[in-house]
Order: sequence, then C-alpha cells, then structure tokens
Amino acid sequence: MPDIGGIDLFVLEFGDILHYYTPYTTTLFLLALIFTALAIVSRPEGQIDIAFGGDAYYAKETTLPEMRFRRFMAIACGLATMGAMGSGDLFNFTLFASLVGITNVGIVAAVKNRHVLNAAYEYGIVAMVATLPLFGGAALILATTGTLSIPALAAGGFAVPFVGKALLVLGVIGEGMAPFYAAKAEMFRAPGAPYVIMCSLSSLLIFLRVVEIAITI
Amino acid sequence: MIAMKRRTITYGLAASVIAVAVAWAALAAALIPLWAAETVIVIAFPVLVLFLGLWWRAPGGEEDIPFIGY
Amino acid sequence: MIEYLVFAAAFGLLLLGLHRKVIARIQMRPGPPVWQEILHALKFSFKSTWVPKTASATLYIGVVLVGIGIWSAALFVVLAGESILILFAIYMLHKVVEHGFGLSSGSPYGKFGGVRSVISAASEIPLFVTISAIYLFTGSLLLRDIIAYQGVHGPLLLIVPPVAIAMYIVILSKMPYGPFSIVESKELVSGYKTEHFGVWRAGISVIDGLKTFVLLYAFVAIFIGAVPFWAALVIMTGILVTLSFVCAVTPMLSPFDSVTIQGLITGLMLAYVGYLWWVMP
Repeated sequence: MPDIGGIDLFVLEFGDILHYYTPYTTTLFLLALIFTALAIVSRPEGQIDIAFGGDAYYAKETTLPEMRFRRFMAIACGLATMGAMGSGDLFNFTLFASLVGITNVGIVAAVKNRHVLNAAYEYGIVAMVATLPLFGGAALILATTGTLSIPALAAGGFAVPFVGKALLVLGVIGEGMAPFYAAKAEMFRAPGAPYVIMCSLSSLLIFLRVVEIAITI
Repeated sequence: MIAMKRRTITYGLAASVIAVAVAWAALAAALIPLWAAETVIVIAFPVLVLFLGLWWRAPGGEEDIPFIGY
Repeated sequence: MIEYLVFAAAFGLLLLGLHRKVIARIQMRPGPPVWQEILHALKFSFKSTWVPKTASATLYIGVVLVGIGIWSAALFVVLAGESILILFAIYMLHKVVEHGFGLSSGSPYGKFGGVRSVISAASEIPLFVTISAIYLFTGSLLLRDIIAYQGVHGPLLLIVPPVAIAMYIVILSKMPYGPFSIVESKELVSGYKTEHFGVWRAGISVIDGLKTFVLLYAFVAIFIGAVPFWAALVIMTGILVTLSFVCAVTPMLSPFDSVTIQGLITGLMLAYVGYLWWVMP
C-alpha cells in the first residue's frame, strides 16, 4: 500500500466494510468537525448590501425558519463530509459525495434571492450530472476487481482500471471544484455565512479525499 | 457577546500560556509523544495570540475618563 | 515548538516587509522599513477591539483561531517531514478561512472579497498537479522521502523545472500586491480582511507570516532538498525577492482575467503531467 497519508491510526470494521483514519484523513475529519460545530453554534450575520453608484446601503432581511432550515442542511452537509472522510468503501464514499452535492443545494435553496437561486439551480444540474461519472467509476472498479474496499484495493493484486479512477475524480470535481465551481461563487452571495462556507468546505474536503483514494488504489 | 472584562481575558491568557508551557515541559521530559505536544500547541497558540492582544488593551479596574474636547 | 512558531511568524512577516520594500524600490518609491509588517502586527494587537454588530460573532472570531491553527499545523507538518498532501489540504482550507473572514462580518466589501476567493479556486489546482508529478518520481508523498530522493538523484528543481514553476505560481497567487491577489484588491477596501480590525487583524498578520514562511520553506524542501537551516532561510529570501520583482512589474489582473490565466496554467500543467505519466516507465 503506497504510504501517502501516513499509518492507520484507527480502524472501525463492519464485516468487510470499514472506516479507517490516517493522519491525513484525521486532519480533514477534524476540520469538517470544527466547521460543523461553528455552523451549529454561530448565529448568522446581518448582511449589509450597498447600492452601487451611491452612498446608500440597506440591511437584508432574513427569517428565522429560513435560517433554521439552512442550519439543518449545513449540519447534514458536515455529517456527509465527515462520513466521506473516514469511509473505507468506495460505494459509501460516492454516496457521501453525492449527499454533499444535494445538501449544498439545500443550504442556499431557502434564500429568497434570484441570483442565488439561479446559481443553486445551475450548480444542482452540474452536481447531478456529475453523479454519473461518480457512480460509473465505482461501478467500473467493482466490475473489474470484484471489491469496493479501499484497503483491499490498495493492498495490491488488483488491476484497477485507470478509467475508473479518472471517472471517480471527475465526479467529485463536478461536485464543486474548478472548473465547475463557477456557479458556486454566486451561491456565496447568500446571507448566513456559517452555513454558506460549508458549501465550499465540503467540496474541498471530498476532493482532497478522492485524491488520496485515487493515488492509493 | 464577549464582554471585554479584564478578568475573563486574564483567565483565557493564563489557560493558553499554561497549556503551551505544560506541553513544552512534558515533551522535554519525554512524557508525551511529539504529535501530542504539537496538537496541544496548535490549539493553544491561536488562543494565546488573540488573548495576548486583548489582554494588552483590556480595561482594568478604574476606567479612564475619555477626553471630551478642547 | 512554540519558539519555531514565533520565529516562523516573525521571519515570515519580515519577508513580507522585504517584499513591500523591494516593490517600492522597483517602483522608485522609498517604501516602508523592512520590519514594517512586524510593527503592524504589534500595533494592531493593542488597538481597541470589539465585534461588529452585524457580524456572526462566533464565526468572526473562530475563523481567526482556525486560520492560525491550520498554519501552525502546516509548519509542524513541514518541519517533521510528514505527507505533503496535508500541506496541500491546509493550503486549500486557507481558502475556506478566507471565505469565513469575508462573509462573517456582513460587510459588502468583505463579502465581495469572499466571493472572489471562491472564483479564484483555480489557483489550487497547479499545487495538486505539482504533487501528482512529484509522486510519479518519488513514489511517496512524505516530505522526508522526497528529501531522501533528492539526496540520491539531485534537486527536483533540475529534474522537473515546470513543476517547480507551477508551485512558484501557486506561491505567487498568495502574495500580496501580486497579479492574482484579487481577493484583497483596493477597490474592495482590503477585500476579505476589511472588517477584521484590532486584535483580529493582528491574528491575520500572524496567519500571513506563518503562511509565507511555510510555503517558501516547503518550496525549498520539495525542490532543493536537504540544506542547512540558515541556507534554507537565505534561499527563501532569494525566492521572495524574485516574487517581489514579478509583483512589482505586473498589474493586478481583473478577476476574470486572473481566473482565466490560472486556468490556462492549470491546463498546461495537466498536459505536462499527462506527458510525464505517459513517458515514465
């Protein structure tokens, strides 16, 4: 097994499906945990907007039910990210990654702003299309090697198809990395900073994890 | 909201200084491994930086009267 | 331990001060003293400090702590010779910290800084490409293995110069006053840093100092290999002066141009690594 994330610190087994943490994935897990905790305990900011070409500014109004729903989605997004960090099973990882895509749309879907909703819609389409290569990659790897366990694949003895890895990475990139992040920038106009930054954090973290997976298997 | 009370800030500063010092001493005495000391310092150092600055300017017992004009 | 952190933050701030001095001299200005950034950090840390009324208080303060924490961790990772994937992760998470700074205050300037920081996400990909190219040669991503590889085969700077250039551009895109520093450009006051004042701003100074030190030190360790510590400091200063030259003679690009150029560089690097992967045995 190529040693790229460091030695295993902790392994949790459910039969042949397991969760494991290396120093690398532990770091990522802790960061997801910190930002989820921030989303839980922080109150959203009161966003001020300016009218261009003058001195006028106005405060945006947000409602409590809207913020409650968005906080729920942000926490769900954090949980999905933490799941993806520790998963030792390719199929579980792809499920968590697609859950991240769904919750990202959920985080901003309750905002009553046309630009934000348009961006969320565009992002949703890209994320949905990206699940095809994501699951396709996992399916291809399963079909050729007969296993989805990352430690088993990493131990060697399997010819993991390059196309499978590439599709997997492409799928995760589609969940919000360059160059598909363009719609995400507009999503960040939404008020509720602690929830909105989960959108960016989750896709960065699942990308960092898929890089590790693609190199290891 | 965090009140800028000198006592609260002194406690925060003291806690972070003690955490850093204990981690350092324990590492020097080889009581804890390197990664444990590093973890403690990574958590305590940011707190130390912020509380040091806050402590520097935190209002003490008697407030000074602001200068209100010529 | 703690002394490394203090030294790295102070030396990083000194490098940023030198950066400003060199830019000023190239542009025929006297420029601030070299230790100006250290003075800034000290000055901000005893200014009166509170939290703006509109801000999301926990996030507003928490993100400063997270910022200092991740770069402290990055320093330890580099010094201990651990996996450079962790360094890469921290570099990408700095982006999330930028979003946090920009969005948490509710200020429109900070928010636009944060939004620009999202669209400049293309600047991270060259670092990923750097890492994959290094992996093709060394077969390991642990920094100590990379240094050991260079002890046998010579510096990676000479083996794969384009990869070194990619990482150089990554560092350039994090330097202030550079062509890609759209997140803190002057039409947004100070971009994502606008609303963090007083002690919070001193925290940002510490983050910037550590970040500059860690990125330059990692560049030396990854591409030049094992050198004595004083030599590493000298090389880092040399690299910084070249960065200052680039920053001094290039205009700041508009956000879309900046993203386009970073995207093009990424495309070129991907093609190069694809070629390397094809020709490597």
